[in-house]
Order: sequence, then C-alpha cells, then structure tokens
Amino acid sequence: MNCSSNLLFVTVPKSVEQLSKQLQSKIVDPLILQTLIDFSNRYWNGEEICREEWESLLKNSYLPLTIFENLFSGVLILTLAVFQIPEKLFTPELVCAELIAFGLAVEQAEQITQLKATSNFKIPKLPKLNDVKWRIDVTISTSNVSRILEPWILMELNLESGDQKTIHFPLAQFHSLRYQVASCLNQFTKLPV
Amino acid sequence: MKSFQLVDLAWELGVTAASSCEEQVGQTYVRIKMKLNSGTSLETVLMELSLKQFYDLLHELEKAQNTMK
Repeated sequence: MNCSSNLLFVTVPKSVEQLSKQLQSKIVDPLILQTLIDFSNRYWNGEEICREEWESLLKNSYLPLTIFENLFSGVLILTLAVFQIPEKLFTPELVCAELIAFGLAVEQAEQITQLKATSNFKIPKLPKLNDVKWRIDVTISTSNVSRILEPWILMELNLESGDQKTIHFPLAQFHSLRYQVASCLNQFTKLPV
Repeated sequence: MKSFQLVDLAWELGVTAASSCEEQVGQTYVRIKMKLNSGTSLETVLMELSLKQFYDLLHELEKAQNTMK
C-alpha cells in the first residue's frame, strides 16, 4: 500500500500507516470507527471522554486493547492533520479523496471533513503583540543610594490575549535588545519568501 | 481578608525623560517595592505612584500615625 499524501502529511506518520493497514484488512466496524472519529474531535476540542464511554466502545469493538489504541492513535493524528489545514488551502473534495486513499469509507471521510467546519479546534500558538509603549526614566534617588541619575527603560507590552507585560531594564540590556532585534530583522530580509 | 506583614520597603524617585506617550514626559514618579510576609511565603509588591498619589499616601500614613498617638 502506498499512501502519498500532499495536503495532510509531508511524511505519513507510522500510526496513520498502521491505521490504513487495519482499515484495509476490514477488521474495524464502521460504527466503531465513526465513534472513534467523534472521540478524536471531542479530544481536540478539549472535551473529556469518560472512562465508561471508552470501555463500552472497546467492548463493542471486539478488538484487542493494543489494536484499539493504535486505531485511535491513527484517527487522532489523521483528524488533527485535517484540522490543521489552513482555510484557504482546504478543499473538502481533495481532503476526502486523500482520506479515502488511507482506507476510510466515503461516509467517514465526509464525517471528518465536515467536522473541520464545525470544530472549535484552535491551533495552540503564542499570543501576538498588539501594542508597545515605552518610556525612559531617570532615577534621581532611591532608599539605598541618595544620588544615582541612572536611565532605565520601562516597556509595556500589550498582548492579543489581553495580558500586559511590563519590563524594566538598564541601558546596556536595551542595547542588547536592539542588537537582537536588528539581527532578527536581518535574518528576515534573507528569507526567500 | 488575608493579612500580610511588611518585611521590607524600598523606594525610588525618578523622572520620565522620554516616552512613547508625550504626556508622560517630565512626570515625576515614586516607585515603592514592598516585601510582604504572608505567613507561608514572601511576596514582592511593586507599585508606581504619581507625585499627587504619593502625597495622598503620605497624608493617609500621617493620619494613621496621629491616630495611634
């Protein structure tokens, strides 16, 4: 079996290869597979799957635990790959065709592609920077030293998540920050984008 | 209400020489760093006060001191 996947994977993971073999050997009941797909959608949306549901499905599948777990592992990776396709590149027909090539039935392939539209799955990412405010403070005096006249930079970073981070650093560290930012910008210009 | 014991207090007086917000330039500030003992751990509280806020705080502390006398 040769599964070359363009949209979903650069290299097909082992768990998905194993899933494909199991699907093509027809040992998996379609209803069990549908429930596993539903479980994986709930998992990626942060919902808990209770032990009773899991054990009931395992019992009804008549499959050994290791094979059942491998199946679920493959389904998890497959559904994640579909959820991670950027909106502008997502064509349901093409994704369906790739899923069918892995051994899924048409109904199950459509179930996964439809889940993408209704899923609340959010790809974890770092918060973006919304706004930066800065000021240069000159410390005149402190409780420890009576006369300093040392400049410090205070920077307030407002993140997309609503968090606010305030950092405070002396001139030497500010120059280090400027150098790092300049190096980063330099690398940006070298990127072949 | 949780009560803390003041372990240490440090202050810093300064002036804003430049800023991304024009209105802050030339403003004086007092920064107070308090080390508090919650009973189980030491916490650091940092606050910045404008001159008016600092005088208000001073006024309240003096009122408390006079009441204690």
